[in-house]
Amino acid sequence: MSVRNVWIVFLKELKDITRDRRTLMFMIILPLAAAPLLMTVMGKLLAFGVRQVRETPSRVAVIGAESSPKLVAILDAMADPVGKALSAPPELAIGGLDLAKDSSKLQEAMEQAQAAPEKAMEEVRKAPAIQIVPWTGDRDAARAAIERKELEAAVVIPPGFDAEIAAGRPVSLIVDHDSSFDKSKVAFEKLDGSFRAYRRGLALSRIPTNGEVDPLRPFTIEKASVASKEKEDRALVAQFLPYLLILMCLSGAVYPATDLGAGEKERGTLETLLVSPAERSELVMGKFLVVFTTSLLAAALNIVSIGFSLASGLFSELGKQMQFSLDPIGFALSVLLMLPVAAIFAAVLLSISIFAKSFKEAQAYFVPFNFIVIIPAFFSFIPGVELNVGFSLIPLVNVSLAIKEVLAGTYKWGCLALILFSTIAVAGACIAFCATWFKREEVLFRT
Amino acid sequence: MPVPGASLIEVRDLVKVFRGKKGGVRAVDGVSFSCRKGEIFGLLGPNGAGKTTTLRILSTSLKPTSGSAVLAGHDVLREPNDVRKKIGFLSGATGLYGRLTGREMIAYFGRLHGMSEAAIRERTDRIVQLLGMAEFADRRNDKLSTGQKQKVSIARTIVHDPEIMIFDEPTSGLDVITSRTIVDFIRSCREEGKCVVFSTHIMSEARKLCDRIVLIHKGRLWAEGTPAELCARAGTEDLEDAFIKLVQLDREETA
Repeated sequence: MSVRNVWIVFLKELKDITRDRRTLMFMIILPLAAAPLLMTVMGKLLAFGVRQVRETPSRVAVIGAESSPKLVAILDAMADPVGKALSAPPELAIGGLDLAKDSSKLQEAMEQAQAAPEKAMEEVRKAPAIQIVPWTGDRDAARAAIERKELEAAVVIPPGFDAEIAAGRPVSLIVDHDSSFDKSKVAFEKLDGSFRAYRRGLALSRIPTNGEVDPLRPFTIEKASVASKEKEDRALVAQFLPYLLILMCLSGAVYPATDLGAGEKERGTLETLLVSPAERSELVMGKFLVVFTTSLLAAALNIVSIGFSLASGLFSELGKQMQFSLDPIGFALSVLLMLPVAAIFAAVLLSISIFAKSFKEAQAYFVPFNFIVIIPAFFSFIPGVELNVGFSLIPLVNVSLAIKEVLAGTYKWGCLALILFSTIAVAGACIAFCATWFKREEVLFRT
Repeated sequence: MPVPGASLIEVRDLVKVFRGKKGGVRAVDGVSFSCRKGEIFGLLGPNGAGKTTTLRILSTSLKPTSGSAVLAGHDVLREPNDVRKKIGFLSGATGLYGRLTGREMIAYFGRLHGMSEAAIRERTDRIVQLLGMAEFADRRNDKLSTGQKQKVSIARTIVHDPEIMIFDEPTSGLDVITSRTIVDFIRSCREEGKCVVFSTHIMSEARKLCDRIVLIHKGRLWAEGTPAELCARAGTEDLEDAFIKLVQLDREETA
């Protein structure tokens, strides 16, 4: 095999594919734009959907209103926080305060709540959370209406509710809702929140207090992790990064592999190339190196893009702002592990592609291969699965898990060495197969 | 260097069996012929006769099951790379790299043939002039007309100045004017003293161009001679009639 000829083929193929807009699209733009675009758009849509559901007042029916003027007052306050808040019981306002933060305000709040409930209420609710639907039917009718999605929830107040509470006897309040329906679940959460605040307020008013300590919270629990915020975020990123990396590596290889294999057949240039004095193995190596390069390039651009998105807070719509920084050793090891993976993809895809007679056929064969890759790549997402010698020997699963661990800062050197060597061995076998495959007449001249 | 008129292609008992689902198919079945320098040699036969397979063996892209083919002194099985350096191959199905220009295409194959950059430049300039490609040699191939594309194909074929030219149905699918470009080119190859092998199923084309013809059908050779000789043997005026007569004779024999 002459290096010169491999180089000639490599340069020509690289020039050829980079002149194609589609390649540039798949190689550069897609991996760069995919993560930030997807995350921003998805995040915005999710946030929009959540707001839609939360801000639309839930339709609620009240059954047995006569037995609890206090609950009715709470519900009225939820339906019209500005106007009718006056009538809400002071216990609701007190229950709504976070006494852990404002323990000194308890006494003050109690006094204020007694004197001017409307002011305290304003802090609890600002927009109408519910809309009370006048209801004359019974509970069964209300449940049916919830199923028909005419109501989001129904509050069933048992007879003598206020009296029972005043007497200190147990009593229960029923909130009918449809737990399989988002809007109804949200309605339940809103009602539950208000009722809990009321219950807490009631409890507080029954217990003597010095006003310094929240009597329902004699002590607090402090959640103290040994991991820094940064480490925590890194572990989160380490979960999805291997998966994305492996898939991007694959998607970066797909288009050039199709073009360099099946494309030669479809254009009718393959035979000309085979008749040139370059050896088959030189042609394969040149082509392989191009696919390998684009695959790595796509993966590298993807890391850059994700890193940038995380650092610039583009994902914040999806949750908290991340403090993302790659550990240099972990990053270097990930790159090292991805090299043979990219080689495997390049060799396998090129073999498939050269077997196919056309672009279309090649792409059809790539679909099942995609699934074969997605499943092992997904292992990084499975909680509790840790790298061990057994997993180290399963191709792709091993790399997915290894990258997850090294990115999170765990280095199992024995396993890593085993993975690196076994993946290199698999890659070598795939390249050897591709080279032999390329010499077979029934592959090159399939009819 | 071969002496003028010396045989440049020697094919002996060539057999090619393709493995299929129902046993093997003998696509080429004991074909022998030779072809001299400065001669246009035609393989004439219907579709599926074994012409393309024969030419693919000559051009080393397929390996023969048995028999031998020696081109310019090199055996296709033992020294395929030396054979490739001596031949230029063009088929009707040959395409171009659409995103490269004619000049880049010529240079690519020149490099694969081991030519130096200086030699490639010089040769390209000559070919561009010879084929009248100056106007479009630096344009992307997918922007060219069919005729221009054919010229780029020809240019690519002759970048290394091969002694032997192999044409596999070179005019199939081309219009009259583009076909003429190819036909003229084949003639010019003979004038330069190259050895030309040429396959076609178009009788009139074979008659016009070929110095000698073999009739090939079902992988076997049926007759060999000049177009006039073949007509005389079949007792017909026309090559097409001669061919059909020979095929009918075969049907009667096998029936």
